[in-house]
Amino acid sequence: MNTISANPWRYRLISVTAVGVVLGAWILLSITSQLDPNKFPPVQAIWSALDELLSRGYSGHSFLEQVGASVKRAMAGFGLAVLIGVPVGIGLGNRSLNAVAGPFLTFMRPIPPIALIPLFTFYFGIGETSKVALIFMTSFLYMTVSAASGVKSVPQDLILASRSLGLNSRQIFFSVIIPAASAHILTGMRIALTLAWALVVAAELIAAQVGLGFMIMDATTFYRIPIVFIGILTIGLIGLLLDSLLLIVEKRVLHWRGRQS
Amino acid sequence: MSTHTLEIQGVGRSFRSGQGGELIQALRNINLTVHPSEIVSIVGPSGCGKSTLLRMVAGFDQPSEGEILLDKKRIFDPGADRGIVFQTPQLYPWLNVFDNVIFGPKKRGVSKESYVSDAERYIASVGLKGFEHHYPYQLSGGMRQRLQIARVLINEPAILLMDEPFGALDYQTRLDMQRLLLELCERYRPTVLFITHDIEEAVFISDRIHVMGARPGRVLESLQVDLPRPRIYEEVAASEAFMRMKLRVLNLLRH
Repeated sequence: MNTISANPWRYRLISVTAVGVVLGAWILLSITSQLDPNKFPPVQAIWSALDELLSRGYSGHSFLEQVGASVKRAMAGFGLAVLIGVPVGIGLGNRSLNAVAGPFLTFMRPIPPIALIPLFTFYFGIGETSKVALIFMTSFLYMTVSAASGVKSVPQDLILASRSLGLNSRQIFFSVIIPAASAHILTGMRIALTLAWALVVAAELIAAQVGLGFMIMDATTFYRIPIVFIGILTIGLIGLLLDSLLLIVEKRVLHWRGRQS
Repeated sequence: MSTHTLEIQGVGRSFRSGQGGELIQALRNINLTVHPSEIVSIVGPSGCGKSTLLRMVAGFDQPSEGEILLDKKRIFDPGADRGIVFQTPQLYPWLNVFDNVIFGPKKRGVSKESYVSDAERYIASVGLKGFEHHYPYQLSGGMRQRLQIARVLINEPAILLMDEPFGALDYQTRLDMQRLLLELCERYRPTVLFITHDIEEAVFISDRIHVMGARPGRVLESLQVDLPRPRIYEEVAASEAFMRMKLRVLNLLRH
């Protein structure tokens, strides 16, 4: 019993089978013409819509441009959030700084980002700035928390041991606290990236000329449901890809984490 | 051969319990000296303040009264001249064995040729040869403790401070580590201050034992251990002198 449950392939097989059954059912319903192309499209409708999308694009932009626009926005907001959020979060390890910034950050965190879209559109216009700002804002709040908790998680005795090895404060900060906090920071980055990707679509639902969110919204208006499905599937696949990339980095860089004494 | 002397003179430490709470005396009037190359143990029940005392020697905390002198100089803050070995090994999990050992000298600006050959020597002397490229998570509890000792020895500290270093290890590993410590002491002759609640351990390794009592933490009695060196556990532990010493400490702690 134990040897069977310890085998990870068994559960991987179950997962693959589950996905296969769902896909199989969809294909089966498609070829038996049980599906309405304008409600839940069959495989053929998706296929021909994809073919059209790849050759002629959508609303004056190629499919790649639609994807690229969304990825660029998400990456800009996420990248800025990491660059600024990590130092700020580490700075919050300082008690006085935490006392100043803490209340604002704590208040901002539970506000759903969607609630900020109208205000951000008003402040930053309907161009790129408002979208990137919204993504930045949300990822930033998340990155500060994970960086701050990363710093807090460093064992006090490890810092004391380092002082006894003769390290000065600057060396302790850069050579002990930062690497020790990196595990939390990288986990935070994975979640912030997922958030950023989810938000870009929300941001594009309002006032965008290009992007996957725009494509979904616009295609719905014109009743082109297969396009909507392609948009959603693409968003899912890219989200999965981005997370896997960071997961690989995490496993490479942080092979030691979670297994220390 | 160590030439360093540690003197603890009239040291007391008081804590306030909570905001404006009453003053609690954790340690009262501690006087003891650790002479060059001497292995001195402090034995006592938990809560007697023995770890508090060690942390003050390390410079992590300051006495409320009295002073602690290392080679006649007062201790104010932590430094590489006092190497501390914690009960829970405080290693850098992202560095392998070799990099953990050279971390101190490297950061202090010691030349590379010097710390690389030192590291090889100390890694071998704690029995970790062949494990240079292993990470702490790949080591057993005893091996982690060996690594922590090598990382401290490479600094060639004036005194080795050990805070119940083998307390979390299983019986067999603890014996191995005690043997290793005596071996290292024969070879490098460091000055050692060793905290433990294990009476047999104290008797086996020490030249002198200070028995502490709690509330307030104070030294009840200081005993000279006159067992010949080098000590071999199987012989020492069966000797009458060992038994007598063990019973004396036990009786002191009973009151």
